[in-house]
Amino acid sequence: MSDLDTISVLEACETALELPATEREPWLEAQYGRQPEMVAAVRRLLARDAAYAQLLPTEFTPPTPMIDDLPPPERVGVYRLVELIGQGGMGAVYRAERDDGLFDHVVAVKIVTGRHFDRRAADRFAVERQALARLNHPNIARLIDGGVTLEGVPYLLMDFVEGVTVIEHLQAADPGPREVARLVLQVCDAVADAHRKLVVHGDLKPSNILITAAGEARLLDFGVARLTDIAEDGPDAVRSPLTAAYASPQRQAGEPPTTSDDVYALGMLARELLTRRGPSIGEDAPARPLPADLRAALDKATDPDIARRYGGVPGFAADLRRWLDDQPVSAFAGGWTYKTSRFARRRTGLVVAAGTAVVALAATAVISTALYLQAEQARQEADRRFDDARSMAKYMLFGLYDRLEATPQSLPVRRDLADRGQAYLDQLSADRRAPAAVRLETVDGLTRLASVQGGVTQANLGETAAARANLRRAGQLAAELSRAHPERPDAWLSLARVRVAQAALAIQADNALPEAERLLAEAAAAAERGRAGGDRAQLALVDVDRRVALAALRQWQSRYPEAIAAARGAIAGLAALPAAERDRLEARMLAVRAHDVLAESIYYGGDPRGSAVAYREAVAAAEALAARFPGDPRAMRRLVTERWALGSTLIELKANREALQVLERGEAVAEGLSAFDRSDEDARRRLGIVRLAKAQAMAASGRAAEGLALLAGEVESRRRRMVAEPAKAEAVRDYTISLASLGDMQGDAGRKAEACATYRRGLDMFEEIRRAGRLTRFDAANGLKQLQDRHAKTCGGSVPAA
Amino acid sequence: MGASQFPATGAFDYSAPGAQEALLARHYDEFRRLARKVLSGDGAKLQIQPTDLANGAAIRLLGFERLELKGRTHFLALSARVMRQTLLDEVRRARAKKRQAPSVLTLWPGSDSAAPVDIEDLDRALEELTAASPERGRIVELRFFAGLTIEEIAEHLGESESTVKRRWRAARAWLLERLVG
Repeated sequence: MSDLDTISVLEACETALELPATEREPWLEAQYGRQPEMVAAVRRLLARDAAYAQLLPTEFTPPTPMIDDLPPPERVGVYRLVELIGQGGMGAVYRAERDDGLFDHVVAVKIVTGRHFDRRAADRFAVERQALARLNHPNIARLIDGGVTLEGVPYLLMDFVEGVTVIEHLQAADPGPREVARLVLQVCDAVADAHRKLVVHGDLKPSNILITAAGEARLLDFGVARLTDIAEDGPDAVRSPLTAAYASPQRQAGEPPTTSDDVYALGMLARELLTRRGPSIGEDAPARPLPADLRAALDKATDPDIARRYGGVPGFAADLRRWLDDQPVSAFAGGWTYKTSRFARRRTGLVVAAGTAVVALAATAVISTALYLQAEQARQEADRRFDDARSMAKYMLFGLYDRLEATPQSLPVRRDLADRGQAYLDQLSADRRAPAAVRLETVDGLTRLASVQGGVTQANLGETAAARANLRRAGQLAAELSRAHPERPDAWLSLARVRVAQAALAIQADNALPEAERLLAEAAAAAERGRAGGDRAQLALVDVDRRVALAALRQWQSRYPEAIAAARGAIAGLAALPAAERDRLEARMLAVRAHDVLAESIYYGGDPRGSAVAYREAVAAAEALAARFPGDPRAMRRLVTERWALGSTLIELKANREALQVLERGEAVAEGLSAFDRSDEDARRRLGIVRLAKAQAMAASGRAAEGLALLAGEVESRRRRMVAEPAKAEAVRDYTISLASLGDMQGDAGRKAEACATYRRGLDMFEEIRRAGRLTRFDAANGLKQLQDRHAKTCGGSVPAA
Repeated sequence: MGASQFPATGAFDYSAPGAQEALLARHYDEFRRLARKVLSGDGAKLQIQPTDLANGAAIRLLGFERLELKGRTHFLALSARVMRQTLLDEVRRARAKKRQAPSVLTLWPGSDSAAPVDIEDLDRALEELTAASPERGRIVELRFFAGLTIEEIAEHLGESESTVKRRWRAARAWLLERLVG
């Protein structure tokens, strides 16, 4: 077909589709009578379309025995049916238990029953399965799987919800209106969620709402649900049965269900539950009185005129919430213009026609290997779904998060992602029945989440408390796992990783050095347990990580020779990795960090010359990292850090010209980072740090005025930041450091009085830190001591007490 | 917590020149990884759906469900092309290496399993369709590879839903015609 033909054929087909089915042939004849090829082509297309829209091929033969003469199947997949718990129009629901010996699980199995298994039942199942497959809400009974038994009976596997209907709950617990409103809100949330996913429930009523022992509502029975997007015109649109009492006038007039009908039903249902009078509860008792504003909301939900009804469930829910919060209810306030929403107006009037495996199989209705394979596949799919949830959590927190870090202004998205990751992990970690492998991944996921929340080595979300909590939970899970499965090296390795992360957090954020010591010892012990049979590369990395943390700890404890030894051990450990492993981002980042810790330890140990050598290596490692992962902000950050470290060491060694060069290169990278994402606090801080050093180098190179100006600006920025967050130890430290530098520079430039005043400010700051109990040996031995020395030297007189 | 800030009006400026491409480029590796995941699966998974990429994928996890339609749709629409290419690349690569990789597509989720189709054939047919009618080809691509709903596609293309639905049906029939025979 030439291009022209294709478009013409398509267009003709489209026009024909607009016409009612009966008018298509005549139209085709009239339009294209003289082009038989065209007619044939369009006919073929229309036939395809019809075939697709059709629920079942016309040659469908139902299985011969009447299904309600047959006893229900004994098993469905790996589940054994135990007892009947309910019966509805098209299906029966059984409680079933898993009995394949893998783990315990109770589910609800809904299978088709009825006079005979027919198209309508199959349709209904297909729709329900599709609807439920989209939904994932705490207040909706979850679909686990669907399929067909060996006998050809379609089934749905769902969460088994243990509870009573909401009516029974009312009779038993007699909750007050506020409590009832809260329950209704849960149902509203569930329905709203379904609407967002373009699923209309269509049959909301009290018997479809269960209340669990915990007092949570669960919405059931999406058997007449409608999928409002992929619905197609079918020759036999499924006409859903009606529970007239809760059905809006539009539904009663025969229109297929829309979201607005769900709103109506919710309103009717809410009124019934609140007043204790209605079609399900009964009309005997007098209605309980309700406050006028609540009544107004109910009236609005059940307004026969769609234009005056709430446009959607969220509107109704919002008014309920307002009532609960003693806020004015919009329906009652009367002054609000109610805008008709698209949902209320839309009348697509179409029904789902897409067949599912259930339906297709039902069509054959012959026991065959194909059927058996499908059932098998259904089981595998159920497993895969578990796998998917896990992979999603993993993907979110590892792959995607990393990618996002490279995306500008992604901080809010990353927070959101972390929240979602948290939600997934919370769920996964609460599931006691999850297999060990899943729980392990949960541990790793929590560890990873903690690192992005309050991580030491990367830009983090600044949520240290959350990080700590997640690590604690990860630690608990990992400890349990390794106790329960001491033969699993990966359990021990995960435990080791968590302990190292906890130690790092303890050191950096809390200055809790003894705790860090303990945690690192535990990490070493755990890693040792995992040595036999553990993944070599993983083991090596955990070891390196631990050594780096240990080096940091020793440094803070002023035990420099040990810190140096630990850092060298880390570097050696990395060098011993196979090349492919060493090349990965994580390994390369660790390498830079290890060199950095080494150099830092040498420096604080009193050998700046030696540290300069080590810092050059750190810079080299960072440059290699940045070259290997160009444009990656994480690499760029490390590069900035190392250049700064080298630069400031060089200043001390009086190699000012080289220092300035190094610092300017670092500044360039830092500026790039900051420009990349203007909202990145961390980038700004880094830039400030580099500028500080640069100012010093300038001053030392005879460009004192420039240096002083740059520095004074930086001091002021830091002061402002500290004032904004006085509780942040880091902000205070940054400020005092900058003060020391400014004082030095002022002194060097001959401005003695200014210098002394500046030092004084720094000393006062340290005094405050000391009084708050946060002055570590490290700070005392370094920052404070330096200030004291300088003050003494420049300003004479006695050393101020500290 | 708050809503994710990815929408067109939010922090990330979709309309900035090159912004979308930049964003996509960063995610490109991820798409590739996803494509590989979808293809390699758990052993002998012979049939996949292209929306496996969009559905299980992290794209949706970027909080799109909470976004205005626009932002999410824009991004997904953009991703459709990439996903399609990625999937094809991976299939071709796997075939070149004679590796076992599912190359068969279940065209229409839930349809009779007698309508499996080769991905490369689909791609060719889709190319043909696009050559004849770029809008229709795009609709199929968006529906298929990005899993957008009719409403979203309509919103994105600035067409009415009924138009999109009509075109989709016709295009689908046309593809089925060529691919299944």
